[in-house]
Amino acid sequence: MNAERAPFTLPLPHIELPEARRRVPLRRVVTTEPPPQPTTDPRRRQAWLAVRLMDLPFAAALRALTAEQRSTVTHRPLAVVDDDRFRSVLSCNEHAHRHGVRPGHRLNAAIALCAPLECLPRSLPQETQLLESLALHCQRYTPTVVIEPPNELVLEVRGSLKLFGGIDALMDALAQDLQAAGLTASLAISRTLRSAQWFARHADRRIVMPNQQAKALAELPLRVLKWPPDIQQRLQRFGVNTVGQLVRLPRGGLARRIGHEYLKQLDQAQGREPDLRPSYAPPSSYHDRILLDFEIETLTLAESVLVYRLGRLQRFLTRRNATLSELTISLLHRDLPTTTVPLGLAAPSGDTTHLTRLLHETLNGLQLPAPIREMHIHVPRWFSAAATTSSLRFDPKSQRHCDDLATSQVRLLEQLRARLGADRVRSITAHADRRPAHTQRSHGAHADPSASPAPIPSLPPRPLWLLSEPKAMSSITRGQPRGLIDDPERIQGGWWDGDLTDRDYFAMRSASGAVGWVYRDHLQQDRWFLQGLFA
Amino acid sequence: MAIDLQQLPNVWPAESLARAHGELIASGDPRLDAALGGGWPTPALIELLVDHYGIGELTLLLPLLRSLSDIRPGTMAVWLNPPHALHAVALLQRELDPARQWIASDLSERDAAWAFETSLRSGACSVVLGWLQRPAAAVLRRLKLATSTGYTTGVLFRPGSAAGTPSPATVRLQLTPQPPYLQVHLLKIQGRRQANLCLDLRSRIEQGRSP
Repeated sequence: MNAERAPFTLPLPHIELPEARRRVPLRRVVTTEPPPQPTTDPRRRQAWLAVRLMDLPFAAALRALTAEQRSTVTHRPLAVVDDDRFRSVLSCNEHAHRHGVRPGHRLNAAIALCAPLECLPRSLPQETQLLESLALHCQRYTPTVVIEPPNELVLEVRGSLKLFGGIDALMDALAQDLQAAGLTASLAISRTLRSAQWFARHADRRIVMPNQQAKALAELPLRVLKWPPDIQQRLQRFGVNTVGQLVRLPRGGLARRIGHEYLKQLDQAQGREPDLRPSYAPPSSYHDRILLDFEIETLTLAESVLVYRLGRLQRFLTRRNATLSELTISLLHRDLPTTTVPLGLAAPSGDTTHLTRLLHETLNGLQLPAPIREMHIHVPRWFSAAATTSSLRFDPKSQRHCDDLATSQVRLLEQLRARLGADRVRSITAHADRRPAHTQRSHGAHADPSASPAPIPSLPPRPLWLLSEPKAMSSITRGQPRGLIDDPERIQGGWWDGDLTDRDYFAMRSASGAVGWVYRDHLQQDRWFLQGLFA
Repeated sequence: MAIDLQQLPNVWPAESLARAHGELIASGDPRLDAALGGGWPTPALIELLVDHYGIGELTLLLPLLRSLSDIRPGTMAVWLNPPHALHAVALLQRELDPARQWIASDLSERDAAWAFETSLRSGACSVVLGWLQRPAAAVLRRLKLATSTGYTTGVLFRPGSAAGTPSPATVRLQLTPQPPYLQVHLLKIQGRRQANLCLDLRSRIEQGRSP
């Protein structure tokens, strides 16, 4: 069939493509011309601080052990081995180092060098976790922290340099933090993310100023690029040993031989290509599981454990610049169902000292059905904190800074509610009705109420105290009681809602000295009642 | 030759102690002001010993409550365990905003004392008024301390039988009705002498007028 049809197809005009263009696919990256060096405003420049953790596998593997195991293990020669075929040594401690064990040795060689060597397997999940927690920690220096697995963090610190007192001070602070976590790292600062990474792999404490960058980059050996071994070998066969020699090669040929991907990396290191990487975003909810070594029987003890763990929550919130509005604490028992203690806040807060106070009041009102085996602190979600500036005004009278009054009111109300009950703190509002039974309404207190409307202006004075129920004045059966002060005020009404009222109100000075508000009820055979007290 | 104590350089009158704390707020009655040394001291724990309610105990305090809420606008007055319900219209007539009163009734003695102390210490209230039957000496001392911590004035109502027991309060008044007057017995005020007054509060009580 095909053979029959072939003669009918029209021959297309053959276009002769140049050799080079035929071989290079017409993709975006046409690499014969280097991208122009972008001229950035000095203020827009970035400064990337790369942190290369030298013994991350070691620290992570130690972290997986219990405290007891750790103390016994660290006094002996110890190595962490990779989980590849050769079980090569990733990192080792000082004792092993003294015996001649080095990272990169295979397990056989390491044991031959040091017979009592203890080997720990590498724990990748632990390493990731440790790296993430370090990234979280580094967010106190800058919001932009990029995790570069397996063992690197890169921080954009241009805006933080001044705050932390310069490059050296910042590096010192960071190195100290890492040392406290039991890690050593090599740090480097450069103008681009990728070059900072390369410098950190080459030497510790490398500070590369923007004007020296091209020169410093040119001196870097090829191994810091961490390109695949076959590419590195190929480049070495060309006689290329440093980045400078690599950059000098013609781009077109280089792109064909090592691939566009790697050429792009070179451009990124020189700041000619954008290098966009997602910065670390912390997880969106907080869950803290407290495993207890022994069962807790008293709430006092449970509270002290919880308060200690709320400190961790506080650090968590501070790092994320977050606030929370609700928190659930679950107390797990052996047989009985879980006791749940919800803590709710009226307004999101990032301050756990207030939560501690609320917790204290809530736990005080709780009965523990059984000993606690385990506790959980769970924060379902949080809100980013609005940056508030605390008052600079110093109140000379109270000898302290004026707190935000609204905040302290909200906190007081929450505290009272937590202990006394949600609806026990009440507030009253006047209601436009003359009948004393309907003249006011009681409702749960608000922290920031709107002002009450003015009362009916022409009302005669009312007593400050109202009795909950009018008290019948049984001694007066007939006529008027003695001591009535004014003319009566007649209050009639209520036909519209069924609570009919027809009374004459008097102020009455009693023999005991109290001034009462009494009335004669025309609907109840003119009996006399005490309604309130003019206090 | 007579020596005038006031002239000696190293002698200071103990009465000046009462003024050392903070502001004085006029009580609305010149005689009471004179007895108190110029007015209610603030922040202070003011103790009122009352057996009967409705005799003018709130009227006596109204100028204080009003000035305290005027000094710090937007703050709340807290009423703990009041003997009766407050009347919103009466408060409005006496220039107090009922929405700015937090009222907690029927509290146990312990809860009331706790709430009293917490509210005083928070510094978020203009004034805290509490009715306690038998507060322990430790509770009273804590309340006294909380008034200075939170820079808030507290008013404590106690039964008249407590007059014999000592108290750390800054001011202690015993109120007894002596119709048609109110007898105010100034049991204690720091740095000043005791006093006995008979105040005529009739017009203020019945008319709800400010002095």
